[in-house]
Amino acid sequence: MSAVWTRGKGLDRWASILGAVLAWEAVSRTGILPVAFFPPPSRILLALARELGTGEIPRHTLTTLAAYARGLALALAIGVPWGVLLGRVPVIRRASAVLIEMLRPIPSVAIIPVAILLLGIGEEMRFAVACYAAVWPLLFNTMYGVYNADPVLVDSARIFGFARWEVLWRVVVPSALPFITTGVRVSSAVALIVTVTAEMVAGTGGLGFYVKATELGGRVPEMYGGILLLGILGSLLNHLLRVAESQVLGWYRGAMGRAEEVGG
Amino acid sequence: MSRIVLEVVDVSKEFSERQRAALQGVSFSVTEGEFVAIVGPSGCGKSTLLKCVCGLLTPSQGEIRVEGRRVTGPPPGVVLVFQEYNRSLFPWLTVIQNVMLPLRKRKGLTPLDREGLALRMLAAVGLDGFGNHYPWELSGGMQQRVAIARALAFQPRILLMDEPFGSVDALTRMELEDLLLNLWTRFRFTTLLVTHDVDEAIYLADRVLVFSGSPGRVVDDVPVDLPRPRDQITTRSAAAFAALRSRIFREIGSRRPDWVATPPGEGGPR
Amino acid sequence: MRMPQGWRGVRAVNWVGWLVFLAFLGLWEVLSRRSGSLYFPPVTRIVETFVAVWRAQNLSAHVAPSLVRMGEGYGAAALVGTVLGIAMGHWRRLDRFVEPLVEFFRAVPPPALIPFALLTMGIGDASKVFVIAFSSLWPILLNARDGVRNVDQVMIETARMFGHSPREVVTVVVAPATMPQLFAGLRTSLGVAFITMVIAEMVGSTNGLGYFILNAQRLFAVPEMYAGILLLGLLGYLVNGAFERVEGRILGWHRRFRAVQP
Repeated sequence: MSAVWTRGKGLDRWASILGAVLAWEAVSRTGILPVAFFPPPSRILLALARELGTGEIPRHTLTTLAAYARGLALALAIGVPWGVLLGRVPVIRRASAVLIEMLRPIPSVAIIPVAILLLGIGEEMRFAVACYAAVWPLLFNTMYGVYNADPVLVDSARIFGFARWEVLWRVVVPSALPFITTGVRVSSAVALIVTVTAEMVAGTGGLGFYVKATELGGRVPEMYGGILLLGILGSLLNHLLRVAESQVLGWYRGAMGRAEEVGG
Repeated sequence: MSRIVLEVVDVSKEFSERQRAALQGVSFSVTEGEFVAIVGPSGCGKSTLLKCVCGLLTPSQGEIRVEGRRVTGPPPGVVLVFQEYNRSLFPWLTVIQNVMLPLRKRKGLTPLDREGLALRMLAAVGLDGFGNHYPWELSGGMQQRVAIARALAFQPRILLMDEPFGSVDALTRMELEDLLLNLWTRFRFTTLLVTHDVDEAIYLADRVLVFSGSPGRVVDDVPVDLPRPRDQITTRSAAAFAALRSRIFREIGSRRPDWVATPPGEGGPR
Repeated sequence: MRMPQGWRGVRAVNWVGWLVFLAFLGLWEVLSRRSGSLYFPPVTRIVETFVAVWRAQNLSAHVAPSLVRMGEGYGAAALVGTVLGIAMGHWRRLDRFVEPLVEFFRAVPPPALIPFALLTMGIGDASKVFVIAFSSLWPILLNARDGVRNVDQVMIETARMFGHSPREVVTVVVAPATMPQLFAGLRTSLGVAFITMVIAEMVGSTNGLGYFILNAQRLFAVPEMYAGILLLGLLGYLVNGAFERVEGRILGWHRRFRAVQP
């Protein structure tokens, strides 16, 4: 789905982007829209290049990435095992169901003020919020995948004498893997959004903070540069995750593809 | 030496969700090396019985003994081949890995032994050279052959098969039936095969247990005296075959569904 | 494939679950009173505050604007997304041209757009509605497109064989067949719109529920902050519930169809 990077012949997919950029350049230069608010791409790219040179943007990018990555990593370590537990042990699942469902409708971003109260406005707060946000998709996807592990597959293993825990990590978790990787992608998107939001709300650094600061400071081309960079970052992260996913799940694509052909 | 390896003693099974029992008072035994087929209409508990024998379900009443020992969980040496072959093979493993996986549970085999055994079994089912494919890359019949190879590589005491050829087309089914007979003749594993196909049951087995009704009950135990080796054409055209067939069909109580119009002048079995 | 038993929508009440939940609340209450923590007021205090705060005045000052913005943004996204998505599903050339742009825009985190919106549209409602609409557009668009593309050829051929004109095929087959997937997109987008609304109000607004919560935090009005978060959760639940009702009406057939699939 990250068609920008992988699909089609090289020229084909970039053609429309290039076309849109050129169109924007042309429109902007005609002055139909106020140049102060809609600078031409050339000016934006120049500003971006300059900021990259001063080291300001790289610094902010790393700040954002750090909070995102740490949050996502911890969320994986918490969410996946917890999801396996919920998927596999009915007692624990029933016991936690109400509590989890009560927390679920609350958007993760709403936790940001609470986090600010407890942790201030620095790195730690952003990392904590990113982690909180990223846990939920992982938890639910893992639980769903584990719960729906094919009973025929599980029975097959049990027949050959595999013990319960062996069945868990040889059969249940691998069959849940497609759901888990989907969870990772969703969690990644959420973690990035929440990190950027946290930076804007109470920022000391990061690309979100940068975009907001440049807007307030009237540095419009720089603002667009920041937004562009965030878009690229989001795109890139998603693409990397998809590549990693297809490496891990080569078998899944094939199996599902065949199932569709056979009609089963 | 006719050692009894499987005893099913007065087994009943009820499921709490459904009011009626799936099985009622089923009793029979199987001797070593015997090929027994269980035949009956859909829904009479045949699969439930197999699952009880291999320990995946527990009977509500009665007892099952494998090699004299009571079955409480999956008994060692009892293997089940499922009807849904595509769901019983691990899609993230190749064919050879699938066949080798259960062998980890067999003591005293080195990885090399396991591989060798797996390769021999794949050759025995005619899948030489397909070891590195994924199961889902193969046709239905081939996948079922992988499942059979996996079961046999395990060298089970008792092989259970739950409508193993129900999901493949008729021609492939005949191939697989003959393959199974071939393997059974070579290795003489005790086999209990469940099918709704009466012809298949008679063709393959030494003995046919006829199931009927809901809850499932054994209504007859029919010895199959046809000569071996069996042949798809000659065996099936034998008079004895037809006689067995009629007998079993009558016992199952086949009926014409009442929404099919009776041709005039035909009373029909009712 | 289904959600586990005892999780949602099961006839029997999940006694254990409720017990655990109430125990959790009880623990919070006890620990809070014991420690006198400023950041975790007792549950009872929060509930009191909730009832006191969410009276007509605050509801109209904050909740109403939030819901209106979200409604407008989501509505715009639904309209544009459905139309454009169907067009893209129908005409390959359009799809090929537009898709790379969609893929890029989709990856921009919604908060990043807020400064742009504030700059170009000012601090009023328009900027928020724009951001909400922009970010919730993509799931609808892509699902509408995929829904059209994935309509079973066999069904189309059956309709043609029975003599339906191409136009009739669209109304008789394609439109209903696309609905389930379209609704999947609409549902995802609802969630996105909701979250984006909160984000937009936290970052660049002077009213709305998101603003309320953040402002309460700034003023150290902690129980009020929680009251806001609680209301947000409640609203999310209600909005979702309303959506499911509507979906159930329109897609009842599909649910029953899926339920009996092997």
